Amino acid sequence: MSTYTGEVHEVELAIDENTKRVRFRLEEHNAQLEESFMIDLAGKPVSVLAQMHLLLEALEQGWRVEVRAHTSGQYEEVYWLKASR
Amino acid sequence: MKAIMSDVAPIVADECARDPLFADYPGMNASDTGSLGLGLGGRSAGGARALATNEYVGFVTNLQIEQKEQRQTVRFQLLSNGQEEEAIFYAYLDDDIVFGAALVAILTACVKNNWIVETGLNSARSTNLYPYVLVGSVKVRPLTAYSIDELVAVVFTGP
Repeated sequence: MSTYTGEVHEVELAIDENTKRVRFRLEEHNAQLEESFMIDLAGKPVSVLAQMHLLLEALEQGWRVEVRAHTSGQYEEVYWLKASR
Repeated sequence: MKAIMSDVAPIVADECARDPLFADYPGMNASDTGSLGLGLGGRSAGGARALATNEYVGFVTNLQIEQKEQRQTVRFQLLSNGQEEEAIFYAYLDDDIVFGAALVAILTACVKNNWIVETGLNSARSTNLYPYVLVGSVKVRPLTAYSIDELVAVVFTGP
């Protein structure tokens, strides 16, 4: 498990039939983090949609986001997400 | 570009014939396939300029959700810098309710905030049907995430 902090810079919804997921990238002081974060759309619907809502709000408002994630393939799979002003 | 589209032409024709979305366009049939394919860089994608072979960038407008032929569908257009022609994109919402809700949430935020959207085709279905483009991915960034030079480049760079 790793923890990352930064501002949400972009959000991508990938709709490939086999790998539906939300990807996003965090930026910290203009230094792009190397990791790509992923929320698996096959997860619990309530959790997925709540995380989506939080991500978009953070992107809109420029909130700082703290993410705890597991390494899953080429992505860091999110299991905890916190946003703050 | 032409070679790629000719490869998928039989698939386009087949899907075009079956897809109820095209009931509004009775002229759509297999004989249109050639012009459909070539239309990727022409009128079918006129407004939203191609970033690459199968990616488009622009601002979301005319977001609409409708039930058509018993399928819940979202359609939207991408505008790039006031171009007269516009690319029209669509996706089915009822295949996966979580995906559908996520897509609509993203698109709604784009309309609200005037965010730039990059979208690609759905490679799984390998299709690009005039006048719609089946969405394969949606990437959003605030306008401020682009430099002016970059924005001008992506908006005005055609295929």
